[in-house]
Amino acid sequence: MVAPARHSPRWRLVAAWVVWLSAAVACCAIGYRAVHRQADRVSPVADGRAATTDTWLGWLAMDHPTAALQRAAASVPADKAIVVVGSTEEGGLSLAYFIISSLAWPRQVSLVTCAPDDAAPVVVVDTTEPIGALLYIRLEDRGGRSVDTTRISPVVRLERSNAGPGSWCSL
Amino acid sequence: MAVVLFALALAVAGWSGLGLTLLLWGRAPRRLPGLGELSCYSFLLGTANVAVTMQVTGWVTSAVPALTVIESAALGAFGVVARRATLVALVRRRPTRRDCWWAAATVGSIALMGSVVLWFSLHTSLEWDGLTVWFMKAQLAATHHGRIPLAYYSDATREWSAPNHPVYLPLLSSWIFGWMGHTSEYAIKALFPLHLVASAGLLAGTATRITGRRALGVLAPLLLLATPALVHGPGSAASGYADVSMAAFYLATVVAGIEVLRNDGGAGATHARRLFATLGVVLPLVKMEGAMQYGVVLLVVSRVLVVRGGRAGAARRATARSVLLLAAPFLVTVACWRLLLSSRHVAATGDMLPVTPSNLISQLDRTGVLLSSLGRELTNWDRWSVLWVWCAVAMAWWLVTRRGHQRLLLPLLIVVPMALDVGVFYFSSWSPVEAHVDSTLFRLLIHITPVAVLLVVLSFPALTARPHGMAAAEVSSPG
Repeated sequence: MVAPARHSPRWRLVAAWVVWLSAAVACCAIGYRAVHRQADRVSPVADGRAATTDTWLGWLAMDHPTAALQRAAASVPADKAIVVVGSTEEGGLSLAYFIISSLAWPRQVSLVTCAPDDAAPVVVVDTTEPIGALLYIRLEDRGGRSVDTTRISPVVRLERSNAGPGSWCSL
Repeated sequence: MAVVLFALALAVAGWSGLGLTLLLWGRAPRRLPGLGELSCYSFLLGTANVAVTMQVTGWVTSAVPALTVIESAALGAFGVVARRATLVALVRRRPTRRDCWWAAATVGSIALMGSVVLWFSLHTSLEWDGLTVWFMKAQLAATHHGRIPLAYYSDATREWSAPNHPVYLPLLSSWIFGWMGHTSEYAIKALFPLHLVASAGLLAGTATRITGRRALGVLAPLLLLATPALVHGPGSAASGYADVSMAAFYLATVVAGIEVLRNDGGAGATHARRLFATLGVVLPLVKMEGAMQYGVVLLVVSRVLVVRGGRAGAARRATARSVLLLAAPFLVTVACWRLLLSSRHVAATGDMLPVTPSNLISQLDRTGVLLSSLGRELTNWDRWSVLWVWCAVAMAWWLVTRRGHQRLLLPLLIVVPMALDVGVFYFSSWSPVEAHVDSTLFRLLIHITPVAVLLVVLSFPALTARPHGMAAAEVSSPG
């Protein structure tokens, strides 16, 4: 098992030490400077059980959005699906959908987008269960206007409706 | 209170890991690593034991947490009692005052690195995959008695959460949540820096033990800290991604592979192989790339064993038995996981095309793009500092100054996974592929970063013109 490495001439050893020490100093100097710069850019985040989701859902204009959306989802029967309806131009919609989907278990959660000035819905993620409710995000002027509506925040409302897709994006 | 329960959950897992590690190390006090490496292996194997036990008991009962506590306590107790001589030999080592100073310096550098990473973890949110892939499953398991419901795997509306990803992190997180009594997106962020600390401990211990130069043990954790990709941003220890955990287990596997070769034919051969084979069960359960990475180490180690074993009939049969022992647990784990996924009709994520020769041939024109992306990534100072450039120089130095079958061992365990990490984008369904490469490649490189640091510190030049110590003698020696 034991066999020695090759003998290194003295000049090669000195050169190697110069390279290694320079590399170690450069690695630490550049790396620590980058880490320090990143630390300066860190903005405070909430703590608590829903630290990340509350931060990411902050744009939905509600207190404790995670808990509020979880309560809203729990009001839908477990064997019915929820359809999240948002604008095609809403940048944070996908992430909000992922979070709502994870909060709504075991209910299936579908995603539908509505384009401006177009009443035809685009089904991004389809469901196999019957629809129990529609969760509108920043689409005040769309939908069938069910009488059984819960306002969760100024920009989010839950409509308990079994209306077909034709009315989901209606103007 | 939550902090205490969090620590208690990890202490129980670590206790089972202590027992398992002692059982795997066996009775060979002269060849034993130190208490630092024992702690790191205890954390890694203990957390893995918890995840595997939860997964297996989850198939037959709903009393998963209770059974896992019993199994962990029993495994720890059995290992400590059965190998108390080993433990006593470790504890009774009489370090000199100089040893103590070096040990304190090493612990200090690991603590410094761990504190910085923990600060980032607690001051930033979970990143995208941390929340939508890993935490989501952990939450599901935590609210279903430690089991991910089977219905989840066939739920078409939740394919975005990658149900085909393995269960180590989700089940370990749910284990911690079970002790805490609730899920927490904030508390779980403390788990990931511990994996980086375990990597640092393994690096420090291995570098010191193999070279006999304790300054390298102090330097190694500081080099990890000097790699910004490990500290902040997607994939880092602060992000909640599985990449840093994968890196820790890959490093452990590489170190175990080195031990298999160092002990080959010696008293600790069987125990070294058992440790290596055990990691073959764990790697595929940490991340999908784990199967590929264990496969690479297995092939390289097996190749050295076969070459060394000779061509005589009996020797060849003994080598074949050794290789089979190393491969069997890994293959069984991969087969079981594939069986579970196919039985639940879990679809692969839409990011990749099927791995077929025709798909490869049709995408060969991506070669230039992939190589330039790799070059750009490796020289991205803001993410890697000069680590990869240094690693390339170290690799060249290593190849020049070392000889024997194992001369290629460490370089291959960096270059081959890196080539596979790049090659996988031949099968990317994204068009153009650059966006996929730019968002993913750097995270794949995190897996091999601690091994790159290991190569860099092991290839530090000798202090005199004579070949230096055990790095030459025991890592790069022929059989």
